[in-house]
Amino acid sequence: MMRPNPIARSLQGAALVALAGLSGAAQAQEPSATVGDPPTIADTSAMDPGLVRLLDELLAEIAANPTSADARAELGLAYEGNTIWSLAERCYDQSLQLDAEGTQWLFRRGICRFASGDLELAIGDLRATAEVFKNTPVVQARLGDALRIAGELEAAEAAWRRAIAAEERQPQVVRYAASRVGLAQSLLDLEQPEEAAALCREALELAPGYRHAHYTLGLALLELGKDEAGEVELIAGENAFPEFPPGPHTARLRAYGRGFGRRMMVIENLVQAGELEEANRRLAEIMESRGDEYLVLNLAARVAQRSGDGTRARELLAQSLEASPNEPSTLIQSCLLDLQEAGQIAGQLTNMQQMAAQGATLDPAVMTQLQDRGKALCTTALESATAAATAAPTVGSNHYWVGVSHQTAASFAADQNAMGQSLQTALASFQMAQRLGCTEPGFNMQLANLYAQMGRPREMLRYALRHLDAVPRDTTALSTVIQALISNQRTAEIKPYIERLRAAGAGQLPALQFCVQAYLTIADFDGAEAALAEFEAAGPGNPQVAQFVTAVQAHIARERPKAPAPAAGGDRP
Amino acid sequence: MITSLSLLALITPAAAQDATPAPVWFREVGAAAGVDFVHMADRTDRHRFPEIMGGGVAMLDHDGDGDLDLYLVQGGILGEAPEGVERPGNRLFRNDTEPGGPLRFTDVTEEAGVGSTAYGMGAACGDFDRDGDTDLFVTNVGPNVMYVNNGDGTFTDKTAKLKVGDPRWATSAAMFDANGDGKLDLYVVNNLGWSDSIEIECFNYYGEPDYCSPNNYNAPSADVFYTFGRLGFTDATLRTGIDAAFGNGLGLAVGDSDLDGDLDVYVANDATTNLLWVNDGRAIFEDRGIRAGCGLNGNGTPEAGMGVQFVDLDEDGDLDLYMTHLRRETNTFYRNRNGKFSDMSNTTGTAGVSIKFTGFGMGFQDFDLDGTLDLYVANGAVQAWKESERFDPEDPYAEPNHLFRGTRKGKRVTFKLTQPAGATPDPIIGVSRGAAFGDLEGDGDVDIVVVDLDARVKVLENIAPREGAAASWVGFQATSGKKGAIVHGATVSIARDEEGKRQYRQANPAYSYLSSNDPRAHFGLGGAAVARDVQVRWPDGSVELFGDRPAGEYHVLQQGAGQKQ
Repeated sequence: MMRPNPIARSLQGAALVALAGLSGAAQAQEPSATVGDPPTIADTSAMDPGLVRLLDELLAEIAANPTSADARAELGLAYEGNTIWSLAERCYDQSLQLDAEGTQWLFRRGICRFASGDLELAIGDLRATAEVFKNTPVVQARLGDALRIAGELEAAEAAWRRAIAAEERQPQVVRYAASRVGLAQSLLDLEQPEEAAALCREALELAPGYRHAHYTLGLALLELGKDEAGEVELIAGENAFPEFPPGPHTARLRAYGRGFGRRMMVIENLVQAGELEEANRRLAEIMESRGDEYLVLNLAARVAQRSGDGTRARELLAQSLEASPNEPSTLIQSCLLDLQEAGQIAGQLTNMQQMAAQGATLDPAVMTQLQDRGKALCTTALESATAAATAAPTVGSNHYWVGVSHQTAASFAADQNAMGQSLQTALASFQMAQRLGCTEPGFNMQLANLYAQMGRPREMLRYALRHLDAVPRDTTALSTVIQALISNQRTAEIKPYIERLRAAGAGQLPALQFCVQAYLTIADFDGAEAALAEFEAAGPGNPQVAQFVTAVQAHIARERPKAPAPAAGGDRP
Repeated sequence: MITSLSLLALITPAAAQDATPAPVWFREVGAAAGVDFVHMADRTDRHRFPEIMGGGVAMLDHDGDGDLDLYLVQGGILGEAPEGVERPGNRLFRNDTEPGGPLRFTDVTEEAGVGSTAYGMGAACGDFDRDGDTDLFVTNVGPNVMYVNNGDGTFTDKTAKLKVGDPRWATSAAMFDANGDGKLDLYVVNNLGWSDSIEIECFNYYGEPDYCSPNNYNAPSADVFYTFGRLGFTDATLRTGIDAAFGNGLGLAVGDSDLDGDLDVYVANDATTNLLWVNDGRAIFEDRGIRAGCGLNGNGTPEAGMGVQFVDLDEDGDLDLYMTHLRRETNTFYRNRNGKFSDMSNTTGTAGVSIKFTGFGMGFQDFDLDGTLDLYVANGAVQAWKESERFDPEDPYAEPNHLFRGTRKGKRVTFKLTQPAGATPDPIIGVSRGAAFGDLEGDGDVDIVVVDLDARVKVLENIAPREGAAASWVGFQATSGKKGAIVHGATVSIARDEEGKRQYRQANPAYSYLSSNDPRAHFGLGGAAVARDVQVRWPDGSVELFGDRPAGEYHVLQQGAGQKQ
């Protein structure tokens, strides 16, 4: 029996009409005598069992329906979803032999040929598809992309323009940022940066924060000689990747992605997104077949940690270290687990000290218990990080975590002397990490904070600026630079950073409050008033906001110099 | 509705790549010339990352006799050697070619004292101490080695004395004068903070164990920069700001990207953002890669940067960049305009071909002397091709090398793939890595040496057909100082036509992948008897005019001997 064709259903507009006719023809088609066996992988012993199971199921379906073009194509989608493009291409070939009018499989074959690097063959398929599906944005967009790489720049531009024009002919008009950026790229190839910039701006209106649009806009602005604005856009677009309008097969391809690495990545993403129940469900599937591998155990520990079950996380990491002794990534994960708890305790202690300062009575036994627990956690964190650094001494991030362990231990130091020693040791580890190269995203900020703790403002500023360089719109980074400039008594340089912080932190109470305070520090009362108005507007009805506003207004009234009386003669010295 | 017949007609494209039929340009003469070096990568089923990356080569005149000798960097044994097993080492082959005779090399490794048995990667050459001979720096998985030339063709290992034996995994390196003091400083690119203990299991597209992406290790390594002064080399990495950015470094190019009179450094990183270290003239560097538009490709995505060259492809007097990349990425051309770069790969004619292959060593040279640059790319995968797709049934990583012939259309130079692949009678199919470019016979055309993993080195003698008697050439060696030390990073230019258009070539050995090349600037003249209006832009930004020079010779251009512009 033929499977229903869900993909055909999802194609829209005029394309849908065309395809419906084609599908009807396919059902009436006689099986081809030459189609042969579906392509298979000879040796699957090293492959992920989940993927092997999926392929077996789809092969069984083909065996039951050997003349079904859709069944072959379904196997093609499974191969393609797992980036096995050459086999996917052969499946689509067979589908086309069984149903020569199955244009959707021609489209997929073109995509696979493109992915395999067979550009001319891919363009042949995509051109033919685009002739049929004139009004399908993704088809025109894919063709535009392939033509561009082939150096057919004018034809690429035309295809991207068709992709955009096709949007208007859909039953429901959806405008795609990706298509505008694709066209902008084609225009940059043709040295037309002005229209390219306008398209990128349009894309950013459709999809604010779309990195690819930022990056392409940056390139266009460089071409237009607007270097400063261009650089900001390039940084905002870092690590972009090209996208396409959604296609009818997107969801299926994603669902078929079964390889081990991909499944692990999906779980990581679920953990990051806080979807822990689904993460656990998927993890259980992997644990069944590969539950004794450290990569899986470490991921399970991360899931447990995010679920708030530190004890389970520790158990899993212990198992992982049994499976792969001295594995640096496991040791660092153990270190992080301990540091996270130690950080929470340090926070608790700080809160308690603040309460004590406000007159609350604290139980010294509780304080001591927390102190001891914090110290113990720092010790085990340090042991883990040191073991990782010993096992892999040339990896900078291992030394970084040794440094963070020492830095955290300083929070529990008995006295200033001990704290100083911990910070100094932390610095030595950070310097080693710096020399080797450290990927931890907050490394420069951590260094800036460490130098601040050590009372070394010059170095604090240096690393705060480096951090800001990487995240130019980050409010914490901007605040730290401002603090560092104040510490260095370079108040004359502060104002541009405050203005950047005001822009980056628009609507955010802490950032705007910091701006007000910074303006006051440099006695820029006009700036302070402007920022204060923004602060007030960001927190209407908030009593703490109102209290702060009143206090600042009073301060300004008191401190603002009176307008000087007309000078009797000459400038003031 | 379109009928099935018409649809099938639409979907039948040309089956073959659009390739320019061209006669053979190169003949592989390694064995006949006595270069019997076989690279050994020590590939295992553990897929340790460095196994798949190595294989550099240097062309240098080690004995000062005016021709280019070959230094081949061996992999050998990664880690401890089993008991009783001797480690294979690097080898030096002296060029003994007679004028007009066939290429002839003799192994002089032992007498020269340069047979390091570390697991080697690449090499950099230069007269860093300005004593008139070429010194040799070797990068390794483990401590690097500096061989200082004794002036008689032998070397002394002075790594410890000069304190340049950094133990991390280094890949490419270059010697150049960063601070304008006339002495060559040393930049060393590091890849990963690799050790056996961080090795992990990775899987290819088919779900089978294979080599990892470098990002799987999360251990990119900062590079090292040494300045050379009265006290020898000093590790200036922190002082000069080179620690501020880093990645999984592989390729390296040096040139004055912003024409401000000092040499900048470009590092091609593998799957991490590339770095453009812009020099302030005092060897204080700032990474401007992303801001200048050449840190990421045109999509804003980091690519797997391998080989790289600063080269003026659009003939406007500044240095563009070209870089080789992984399969499913284009080889990327960054056009330079006023120190800002745009990814214009799609205009070169090489992008579409390159997405199927993984490029490593590369070089733009005018191989057929027609006055337009051509491009040679040494390819080899880092993830296995499936059985049915393999180019070599015996080696799932093997790929064919490519030669692209440059043609000028109006203002633009574009490139077309030639067939047979690589322009040799039998296509060179291997896991190619390092490729060095230079005139080995001294006959005025550029030859190539390619290192393939686990294979005998290929020496490709240039036999490109000339357009009748029309082909001619000229070469220039840029020198300075009393002993005529070779200057790295000078840009030589000649007039191309009566309208004042010029052609520019770098005199610089540092480009390609893990390799050191002929330090001379080479021009095909397409039949002209004279190279007209020769000019040199020295690394300090000064320009000197050297007038017309006859074709068919290598000319020495001594700094200070020309007419100042």
